[in-house]
Amino acid sequence: MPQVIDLRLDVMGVCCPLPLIQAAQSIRTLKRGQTLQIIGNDPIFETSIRDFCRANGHDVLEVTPGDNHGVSMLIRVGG
Amino acid sequence: MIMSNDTLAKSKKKGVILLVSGELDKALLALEIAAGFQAMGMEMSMWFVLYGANCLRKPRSPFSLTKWFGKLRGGPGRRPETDVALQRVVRGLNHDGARYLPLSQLNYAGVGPMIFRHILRRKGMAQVEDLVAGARDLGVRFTICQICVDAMAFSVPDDLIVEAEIKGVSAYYLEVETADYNVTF
Repeated sequence: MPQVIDLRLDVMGVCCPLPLIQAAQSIRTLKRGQTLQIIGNDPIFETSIRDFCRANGHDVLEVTPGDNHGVSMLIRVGG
Repeated sequence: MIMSNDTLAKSKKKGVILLVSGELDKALLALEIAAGFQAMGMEMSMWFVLYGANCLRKPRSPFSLTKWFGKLRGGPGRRPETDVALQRVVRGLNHDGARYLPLSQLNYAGVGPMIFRHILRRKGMAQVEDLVAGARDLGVRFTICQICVDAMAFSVPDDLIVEAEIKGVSAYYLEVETADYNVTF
């Protein structure tokens, strides 16, 4: 069953730590249990967001590689 | 001790960064760490002393006439009655604003920072101004040292691009005493 996406965030073309800053800002607008999809192509994008989720208690639901070295990550807000 | 995700998220740690240097590379690094750590869930506080406060100032060209000849203005933390004329020279020579910060190496009279900033833009990296705004939006607290405000003739809040408190070493002590992370740039 496909996941419902509550908010999409595009951070293509920006580097560390901007994806983290924008992810933290977006997650503030969401409630616990809602989902956020983040798409980025920073070389360390996936590890940054995984670390971010680990530190803040969010869950990474899905990681899909996309075009232009991009990675799409689906996160469920926890914490 | 192994912490589960939940405990890691609940214990809010505190960090303090002291920025002394007014150079673009160090300011960039300090702000990157502050904004990044705040995004990761740490409660960050940034202290700016001496030239470090330049990256919070409104940008002003080195050829601006008001920068050289304008009146020294008062404000919180200032003691205008003790001002001396040489403070105008200091103000004139000072690099006001993140846009005019020099590099610690390869500066070449201002050409270095232009190249550096061009590379940052091309790579999609954050500029100092963007990081100040990002850090402020995330809730990083900015504090400027009172004696530096007085000595460098800052007019708070008119000269600043963000809201900042003015405090002294006692307040710094209280923050550092309970901080889990503290670095100086």
